[in-house]
Amino acid sequence: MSKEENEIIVEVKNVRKSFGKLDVLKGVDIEVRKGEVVVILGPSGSGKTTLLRCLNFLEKADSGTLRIGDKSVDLKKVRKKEILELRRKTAFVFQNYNLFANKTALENVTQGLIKAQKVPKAEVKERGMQALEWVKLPEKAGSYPSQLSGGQQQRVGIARAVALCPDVILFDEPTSALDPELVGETLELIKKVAGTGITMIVVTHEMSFARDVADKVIFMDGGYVVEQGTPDEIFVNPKDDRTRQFLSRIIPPEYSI
Amino acid sequence: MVDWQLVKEYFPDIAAKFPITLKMVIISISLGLLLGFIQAIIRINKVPVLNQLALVQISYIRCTPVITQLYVIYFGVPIILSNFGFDVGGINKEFYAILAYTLNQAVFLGENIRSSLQAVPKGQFDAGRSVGMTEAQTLLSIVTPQALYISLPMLGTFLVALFQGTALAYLVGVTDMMGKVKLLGAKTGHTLEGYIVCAIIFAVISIILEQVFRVLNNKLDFANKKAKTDDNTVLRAAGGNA
Ligand SMILES: Nc1ncnc2c1ncn2[C@@H]1O[C@H](COP(=O)(O)OP(=O)(O)O)[C@@H](O)[C@H]1O
Ligand SMILES: [Mg+2]
Repeated sequence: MSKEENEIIVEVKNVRKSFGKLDVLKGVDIEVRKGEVVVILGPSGSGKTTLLRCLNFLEKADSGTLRIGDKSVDLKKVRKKEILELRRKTAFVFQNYNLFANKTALENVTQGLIKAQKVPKAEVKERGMQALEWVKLPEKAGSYPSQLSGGQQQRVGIARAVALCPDVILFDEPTSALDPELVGETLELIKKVAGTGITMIVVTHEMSFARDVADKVIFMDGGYVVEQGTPDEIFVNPKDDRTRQFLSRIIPPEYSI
Repeated sequence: MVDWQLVKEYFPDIAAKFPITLKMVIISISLGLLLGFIQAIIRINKVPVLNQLALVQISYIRCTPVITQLYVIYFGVPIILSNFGFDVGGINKEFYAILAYTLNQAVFLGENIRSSLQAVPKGQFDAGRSVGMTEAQTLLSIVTPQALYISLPMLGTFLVALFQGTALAYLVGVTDMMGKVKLLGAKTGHTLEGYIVCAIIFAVISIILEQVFRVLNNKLDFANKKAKTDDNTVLRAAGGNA
């Protein structure tokens, strides 16, 4: 299980982002090794979503550097072509799924393969169906998002990300919009994704998931990385007061260690 | 009294001018859609200068009667063209009508396209980019189809309004169905019968158009594939076959 010797596949250095006068990321540094599952924790508004969105270039960071694989850019003067190249190394699983409303489940999965990766037609359908089978939804291939439950939509969202075979998958609170009874099975599916050895960065408030699956836990607050370490280090021996306070609020007493 | 025999006699002569109406409608709506799409992109991206020009044009078209717009084009464009040395004598009257209707449609369709594009949830754009598509690909394959569906009811309304609005084109000398009624009236002294023929043709075609849009709407309805049963207003407007 030791991934400590793996190469660093994502390197975020001094990333800053503000919306108007509001400084949301105030110099964030993160390193992720190949195959690691990194969980990001932090109170609402601490910049977790913005950080993931900057990694996927859904938001353009103001400054800092980003390296994914062997491609490194200065975020201040990154060019359109570089953005596209870097973006194609990552995939995003959204909090509210964001499935293409005008596409069937299968088309949702194959859209990126066809348009971005130019996978040959003959291969596309097979790969799309494989991904849907993998998330146990092959029978919904022809259904539109509006005909799927939230849990099913998120499964398709995960299939869509996995099918792209990216270097890194970014999950932004993938279960927080789901009905409570669907959270468990969706987390199981995300564990299954982790089991394939793909690198993942997951923003979540599901502490049991973080403890079971994460190789590294990062705690963010107020636009900074406050503390990071193994799940044990963060959950058992948090060093920073803010981490302790946050954990005591979010972990029910009967689970606390 | 209405002479129904005359209505029958007029019918083929007047209906023969229907293609002229059709031509004005098809060209104006097609060019209007194209210009409207450009206007929408200019407005959404707030392109400097062009955005301000668009706003002026939008106010002008929205705040003046169509008949005024027709006359301004009909009397104004020849002056401009002849200043550039064009021989305006050879220009077909339909040209002026089509130009006026096109500019009118571009504004209304453009605002409709803009609000429809903006009504597509931002997350759809995010998702498109997140799977590695370019912005243009996302706009074309994800956002535009959804915007089209959102805009469809208004598009149908505009098309029917345009179709009926072309009835004014005879005022700038186009011999469409209405123009034909005037000619027949001048010859026989009976105009009411001619207008009844026009009323029938306009009504029938309008109802057909509305039905077509209703079917199209159901076909494109990815948001709710099951047939809508609660939309009584649409059914009533479409001719009440509910
Ligand atoms: N597009 C935006 N425009 C303006 N402010 C934003 C935008 N996105 C996020 N913010 C603000 O940035 C801060 C951090 O948001 P976010 O990254 O969503 O935090 P988190 O995901 O940790 O809850 C919040 O105060 C939020 O209101
Ligand atoms: Mg968030």
